[in-house]
Amino acid sequence: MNRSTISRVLPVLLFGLLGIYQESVIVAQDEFVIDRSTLESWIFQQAGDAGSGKRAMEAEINLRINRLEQYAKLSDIQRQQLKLAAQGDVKRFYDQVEEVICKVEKMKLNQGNFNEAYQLTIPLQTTLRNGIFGPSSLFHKVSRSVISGEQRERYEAAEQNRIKLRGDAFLKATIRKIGQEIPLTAKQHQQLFELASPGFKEPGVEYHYKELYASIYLVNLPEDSLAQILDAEQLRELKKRKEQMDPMMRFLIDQGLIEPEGVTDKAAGDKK
Amino acid sequence: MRARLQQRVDHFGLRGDIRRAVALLAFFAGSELALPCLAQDEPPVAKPLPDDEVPEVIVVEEVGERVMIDVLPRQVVPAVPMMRLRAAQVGDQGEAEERNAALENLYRLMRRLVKRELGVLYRVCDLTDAEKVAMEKGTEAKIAGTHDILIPLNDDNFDVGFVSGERIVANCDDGNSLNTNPYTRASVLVMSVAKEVLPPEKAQLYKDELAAQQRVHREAIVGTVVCQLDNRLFLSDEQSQKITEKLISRWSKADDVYAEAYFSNPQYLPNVPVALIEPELDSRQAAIWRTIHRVNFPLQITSMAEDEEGDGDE
Repeated sequence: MNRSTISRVLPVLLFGLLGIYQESVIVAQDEFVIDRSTLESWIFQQAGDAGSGKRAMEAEINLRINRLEQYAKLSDIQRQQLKLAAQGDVKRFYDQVEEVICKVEKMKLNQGNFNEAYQLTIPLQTTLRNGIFGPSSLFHKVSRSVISGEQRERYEAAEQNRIKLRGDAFLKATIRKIGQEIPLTAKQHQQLFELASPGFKEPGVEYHYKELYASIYLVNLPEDSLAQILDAEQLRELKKRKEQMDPMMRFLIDQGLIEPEGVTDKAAGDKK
Repeated sequence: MRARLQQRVDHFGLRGDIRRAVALLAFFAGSELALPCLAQDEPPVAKPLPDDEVPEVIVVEEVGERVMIDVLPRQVVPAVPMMRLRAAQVGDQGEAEERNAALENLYRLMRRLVKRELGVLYRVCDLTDAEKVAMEKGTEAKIAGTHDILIPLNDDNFDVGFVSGERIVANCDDGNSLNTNPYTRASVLVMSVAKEVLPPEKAQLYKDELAAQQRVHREAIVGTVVCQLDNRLFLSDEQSQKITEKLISRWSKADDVYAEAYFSNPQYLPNVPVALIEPELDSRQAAIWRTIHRVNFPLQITSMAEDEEGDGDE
């Protein structure tokens, strides 16, 4: 291959490469048109599109039924009932997806209101991130009706245990983070965890608020209990962090993300 | 100054990655440039740098235990303490000031972390005042002699670099990154001084504390990972238990993972070794596990740097 060949081939190659990258948002005379695949990628985020999202949900249904079977022997009919319920949840979610897509397709988008289209997809992203088979789902309700008696008690105890483990994991990681800023000994890490764990529940808020919630919970633990674990210097440092966190706590309350009575009462109340 | 730099670059040729790209293009173009470009990839000859010499540093690269520094002539030298790198004048005055400011930030960060680490040491060992003074003097001297740990994320060939590590463990607020865990680095530094200045039984107490702290850290990370896995894979109690045990005892790189990054990004997992997870999963779980994105987010130490500023003001 000589240089003249390169100079002929290179532009063609570059144009070819540019062609591969198709603009999914088409701008025509100040009007924005968002195609379906872009909307799906906004909603389904990591899964990429509606098809992949559905396959992931199907896989999740099987795993959820498997877990239930760890505690109760299910008949074929019960398994079918559970699958139907879960598919109902999937359908309900996809109906909402269609609704949003139709709404966006009907919108006359321009530079001024372009962001509104994205905003419409955010609740769906959140639902997906938190899972569509949560406590308000059909699957959840049916799963509680198909097993009964001792099996149901075992299953619910195991679920509670999982929630507790998740909360404890959040607490341990948050205490570790505090311990990397304030010098805490390994023993103090453990003692703080033992003080905080009994009353701590993983909050039902968005993931990025959970760590904040755990930090707020920790710095609001009763001072007399903290004083039995930490020395004066460490308490002073923790107090500084508490002051920094107060506006964030007010923000969480104002946004309705944590209970109005506040995490302070909760932390203190658990100690009473 | 630019002309001097250009002269050096002409002398050394282009940096490795760019040189390889040029070589590749030249090869496809049938150019005779290809061979010299590739030929310059040969490793430089190692020559020790005299202790009292301040290198005119151009680019520094990590080569195993040593640091490769482009000086005139090019040579490989052992890691150069930051103080000496700071003294080296490269580029125009503005560039040198920028580089020195980055090093100052690193000193401040190290001082803060070492101070925190000394706080732990003082709480687990009952030190005399004389021992505390010796620890503080010893750690300060070690910080001053700390070898470069910054990675410049600047592509400019002429700019000064410190160490180009293979991974980024933490990002500083000044745009530089660290290629070693800053917390580990601080504790290793304090441990080395403790061994030198404290009675063996006190140094041992601190060593035991470090092991306990490592366990605390690992439990926090592993707990987070297992919960994230459970959210996606619906682990049985037995699976959760086995994976937890394996990760706590065998996942040594957990020390460089920071749980908080995964609270905000629950769709990701840290880079957990496949061999510790996959054998415990059934085929359906394994299929989902393979689709989970695993990435080690670097620690963001912006707020710590700000705190440090605050401390300085007090």
